Amino acid sequence: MRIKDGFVLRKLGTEYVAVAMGEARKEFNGLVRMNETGRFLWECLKTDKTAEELIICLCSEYDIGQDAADIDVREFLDKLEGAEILV
Amino acid sequence: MFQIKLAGIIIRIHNLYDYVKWLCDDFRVADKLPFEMEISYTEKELLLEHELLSGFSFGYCESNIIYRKICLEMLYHRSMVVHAAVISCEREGFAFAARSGTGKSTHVVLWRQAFGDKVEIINGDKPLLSFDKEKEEFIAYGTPWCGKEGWGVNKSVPLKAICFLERETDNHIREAEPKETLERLFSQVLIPVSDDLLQIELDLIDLMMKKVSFYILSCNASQDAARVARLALQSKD
Repeated sequence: MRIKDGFVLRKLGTEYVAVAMGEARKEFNGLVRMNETGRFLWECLKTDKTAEELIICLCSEYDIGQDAADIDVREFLDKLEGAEILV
Repeated sequence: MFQIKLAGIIIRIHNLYDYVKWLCDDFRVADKLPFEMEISYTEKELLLEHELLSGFSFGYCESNIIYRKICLEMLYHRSMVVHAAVISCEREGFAFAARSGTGKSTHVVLWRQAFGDKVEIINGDKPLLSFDKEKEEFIAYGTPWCGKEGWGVNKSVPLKAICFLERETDNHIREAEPKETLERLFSQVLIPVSDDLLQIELDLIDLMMKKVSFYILSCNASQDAARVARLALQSKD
């Protein structure tokens, strides 16, 4: 899976938000807020990745255990799937 | 046609109905002055607005369309509209934002009751918040569009804080976390359709999060709510 075309990530204050631009805004005119971990996973998802690959990326970037990374990744993917941002 | 000056910008408005001209009376400037923004609309837009706001006059619908267009154009001048009530208290501006019906108007009345003439309502509903590049601060401007109570003056005040209101039985105030600020702020701004305007708006929100303080005020409808809020919001020096 990967991020649909037309979405951009913006830093607002200390937070990150994903917004749709152009054609993508016809389907999604909201914003998805995320923290630093979310930002990292977002960058990873610019190219096709499986959930397992994301967990490996997260573990190596943040030096956290597999279980913690698993929870973070599932939560993040749920959020993005809820907003129909993934293809 | 007539001209007004809003947030420092002279705007030429092409209207059909008298209502908007009447509404803008305090903000009028001479028609011959050079203008920086020109607002007009199509018949199709008016008919659509009239259909959406069933029961409202064409004059009111026209005024709505015109302000929406002004607010979007204002982004090019580093100003954005926020659905909030702004008061000035000893030359400091505080904005109170909440979902309709939460009690923005009630709360600003409490400030007037508690502190009298120290407090002036700049705009009760739709002020423009503008970034002043030289002073590097946000200024809240009164506009003719100020809600059903008609509380608004042609004045401005440096904006110190935006306070999100929540109804509670007792009164307390705390600083909002950035994520709370974003969620609440986005539900009170106009989201532009065009991508470049959206980018400008996001830049402004980013600046606002750096320059303005954000609070969450849980409050009831007693004057104590205004006292609790003022104690936290007002500069200590």
